[in-house]
Amino acid sequence: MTTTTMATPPALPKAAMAPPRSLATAVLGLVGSMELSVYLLLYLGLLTFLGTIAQLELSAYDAQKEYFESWSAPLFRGYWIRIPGGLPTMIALFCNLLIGGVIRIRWQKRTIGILITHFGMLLLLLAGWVKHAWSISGSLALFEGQQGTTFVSFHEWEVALVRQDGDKVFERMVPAEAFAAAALRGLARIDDPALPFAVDLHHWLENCEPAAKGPMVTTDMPVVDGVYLRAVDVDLLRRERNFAGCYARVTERGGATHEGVLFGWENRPEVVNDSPFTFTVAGQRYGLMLRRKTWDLPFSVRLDKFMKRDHPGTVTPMDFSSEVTVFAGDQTWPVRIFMNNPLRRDGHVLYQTSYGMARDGRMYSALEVAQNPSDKWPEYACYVIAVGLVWHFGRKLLGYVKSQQQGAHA
Amino acid sequence: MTRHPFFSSLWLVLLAALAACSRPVPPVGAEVRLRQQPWDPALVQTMASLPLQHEGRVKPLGTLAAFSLYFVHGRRDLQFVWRDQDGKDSPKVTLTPTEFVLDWWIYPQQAVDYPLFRIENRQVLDAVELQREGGQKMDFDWLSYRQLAPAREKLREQAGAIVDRERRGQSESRNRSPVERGVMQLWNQLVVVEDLRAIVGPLAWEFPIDGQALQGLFPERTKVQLADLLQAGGQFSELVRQFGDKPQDPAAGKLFEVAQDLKAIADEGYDTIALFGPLGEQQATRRWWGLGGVVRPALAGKAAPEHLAIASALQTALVSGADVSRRDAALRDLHRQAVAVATQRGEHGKVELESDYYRWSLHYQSLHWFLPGFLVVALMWLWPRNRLLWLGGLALSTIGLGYVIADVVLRCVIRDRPPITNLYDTFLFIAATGVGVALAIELINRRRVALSIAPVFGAVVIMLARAFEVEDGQDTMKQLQAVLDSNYWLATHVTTINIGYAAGMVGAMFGTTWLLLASFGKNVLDAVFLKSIVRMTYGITAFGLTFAVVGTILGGVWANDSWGRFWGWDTKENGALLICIAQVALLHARMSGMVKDFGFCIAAALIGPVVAFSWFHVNLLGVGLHAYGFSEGTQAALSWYYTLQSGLILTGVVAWAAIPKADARPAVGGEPVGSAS
Repeated sequence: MTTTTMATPPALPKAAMAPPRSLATAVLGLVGSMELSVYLLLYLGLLTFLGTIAQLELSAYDAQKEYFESWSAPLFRGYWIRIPGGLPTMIALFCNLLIGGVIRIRWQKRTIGILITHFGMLLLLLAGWVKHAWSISGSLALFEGQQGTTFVSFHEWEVALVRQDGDKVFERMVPAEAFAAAALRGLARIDDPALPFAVDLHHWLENCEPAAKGPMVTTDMPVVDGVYLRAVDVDLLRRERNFAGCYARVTERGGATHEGVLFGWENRPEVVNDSPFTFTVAGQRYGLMLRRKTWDLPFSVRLDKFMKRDHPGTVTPMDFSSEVTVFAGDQTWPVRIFMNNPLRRDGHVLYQTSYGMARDGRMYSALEVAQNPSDKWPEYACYVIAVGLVWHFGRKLLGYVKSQQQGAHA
Repeated sequence: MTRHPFFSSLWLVLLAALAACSRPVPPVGAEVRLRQQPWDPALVQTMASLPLQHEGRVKPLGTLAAFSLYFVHGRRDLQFVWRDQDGKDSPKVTLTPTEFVLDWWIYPQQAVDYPLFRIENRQVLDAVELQREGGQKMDFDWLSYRQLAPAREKLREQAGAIVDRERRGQSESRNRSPVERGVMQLWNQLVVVEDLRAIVGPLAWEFPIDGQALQGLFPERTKVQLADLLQAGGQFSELVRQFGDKPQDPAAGKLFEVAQDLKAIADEGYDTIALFGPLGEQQATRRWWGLGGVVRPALAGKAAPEHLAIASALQTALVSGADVSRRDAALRDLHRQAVAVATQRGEHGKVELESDYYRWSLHYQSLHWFLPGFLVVALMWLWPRNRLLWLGGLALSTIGLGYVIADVVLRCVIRDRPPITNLYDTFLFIAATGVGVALAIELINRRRVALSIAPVFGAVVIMLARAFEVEDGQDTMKQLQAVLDSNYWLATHVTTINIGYAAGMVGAMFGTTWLLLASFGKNVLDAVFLKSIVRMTYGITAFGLTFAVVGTILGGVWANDSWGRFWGWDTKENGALLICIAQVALLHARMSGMVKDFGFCIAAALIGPVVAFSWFHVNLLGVGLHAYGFSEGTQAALSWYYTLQSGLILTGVVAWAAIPKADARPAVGGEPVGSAS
């Protein structure tokens, strides 16, 4: 019997053995790499830590805006150095997860758990994006017997132009973010050719109070009809306590002007902003008001009864609930909204979050209203992730236990 | 056998250190001593289960007494010595919380001299213009009620001013200066002590029997006490009606003064701590009454006989300080009557069990097993092949775990709640989970590492729980706020996330253990053994990640149902997210080969501080929706933990770099354990 010996071929350099990679493949490889995941996660951890510590000086709302819903965030508060914010980080993480954790990962039996988990994480990140981009939330505070059809923002302002035509009231709203920055620097103009005038807003103040300009008072602010806006320190921790204000100058197409003061009102149900800055142009009476951003509900809600029970002998609430009647078209039906049991209807969710007392001693119920297309997505994502993690690590645990038993027997 | 001089010196040093740490027991002048006999332990046990209502729930007196003493005194007992006029000290006297309360009720002239209030910042005494000796020291002083009383008004003013400023938004409670914190603390302590006294306060008052009318009602008496007036309430009211249109009649005597006092008692209520469960027509009322609540029904002649009996028994006990048998009989009668009332209202069910729960102190008992367990495990390392020691360590740790589980279960039964409703609960639950997980790992791989960690983890966390309980000084079974009143979410989100915390902490211990063993024992220990620790660290990290992620998301789902948003970047939410991020990053770094065993275990060890930050530190920031549980002791403990863990990691790293590798050094790098396969 003869034996033939094959000569070992000379080893080729690694690069020569590997198939050539296109630029796209290389980029995809980089974007979907696990190393990038680690760096992104660590960076997100850093951002999370900074955003947490920032809440010593900022409200959670501002910290959220500044660190997690922003393209860039301050590395140290009060200094100019800025680092990428939560938005680019989470977008990058999403891409990394999609490319590396779903598309490029080998779809095999042993990666089923990982894939399921990654799908759940993608759904979770997507839910966050949808909420960030398309959700709105505000509050609806009602006294017993009062009916509400709108809800108002906690922090955001808008200027509303009101025109009454007989029984009808026409409103046009401009959100504060569209003009506040310009009005802060100088002048912000709202000019719609359909209107017989233009509105200039100036001297925007985030927190202020109207004050009478007496002879002993000196101020740099404009004075209109003996009233000026006095700046108040902005409450950074409880932003909802700030009352914005600014001045408005209405310039008719003919050149005549009207000056007025706009002041944001307290967000309490007994406080009604019933005195807007009014002016008449071409025989038509208009009103301008600064108010918290307001949205319509697709249905209306009447508070029939508000109940609050304290733990006996304490002022700690045991439970509080609102018995409401919902009106939608011709239909009405009663609903009880209480802690952890919201009302969900027509894409809107009404939560029992708080209550308050008017100055006359009447209690009112404060409901939070949210419109969030991805309302339930995180819950579904949670189930998916749980299944994925339990599947993957459970499988590994079983393998480990088996190997230990085999080791023990051996 | 001759002792080695080194060990003798070591003992001396240890004894000297102990002596330096121990503080002399404060003296109390023996001249104020009124109670000569120690309390009968059986009576104390009975009284510890006296039902009353406080902070919205019916609880035993023992619970109230214990947490009041923790809050005011910062210890589980009250210790002092009687010092006679010659300066001689008696043996140390130790009072349990219930004994202290009984003294405070029945022997107030003695108890006002007890060294009760713990003063840690002596500048607080300056702030309220109390004289003090010497400057600021590093330790603390005790102050008696009698010493503090002159500064009461000043203290009230100062505390009121601080609260006013904060209410007006001029300052934040979390920005209080150390002196302001001390003033608020001292004022709250004073209020707690006075509330304890207010339960019985008006019963000790004396009302003069002056005038024909009152003398007719109480013949041959020159003064009466509240319980006597309540007993004769209907007749007393009749007298007031009779003399209503002729108050100047000399026969009325001090009738109207007494009536005014009774009205004042009724108005005041004395019901912060309430002893009288409403009966009869009022049975549906959830709020119990103090003495003030009994006055009006009594004057209308409609007081429940049980209430009158409670007041009488308590009053008899108060006036029988010198007659021990009468005093004890009255206290037993008081207990019997109060239990009857609570039972009639259907609110006595868990009171006895709660009293027993605190008496059994099961989590404390667990220390009696964990600590010997640790010793046995230490011996096991000297004789690693000894199976008996392994079994012994396992048995002791398992029994300790059994005690903690029993403690947690009992708390669930008493409250009808899932295991965790507050920060204190987290200690017990995390101790049980951590030890349970470590023991489960030990049973799987029997490497003795997990068994070594189990009793240490259990003992440390239980000791921390006990320290927190005293430091916080708040009832650990408090009623829940409305938003937390959901057994479903407490059972799912809270439990799950705390399993994640437990796993993170145990994982950090595994990582630290590997680091130290691999660094110092690199030339001694074999690679397979070290690799097994890495595998355990990986396993526990994966286990922790699963629960941390699911728990965190469940928290968001709960928030979505409560507040209308899934994620609000609240500090506590961020803390939980940090744990998830750290663990995911660690596992991915491992899978991608970015870190080997060394880096993996350092990172796992670093997750411990991340967990601690989320578990406790974010609560101390004083912002967000979870700003509770703040105490300086907790902050100090956290600082210690961060320092210790960093020190251990640094030590491991330095040793890893500094200790030269022998030729036959086992390979401790190796292939990743956490691959996708």
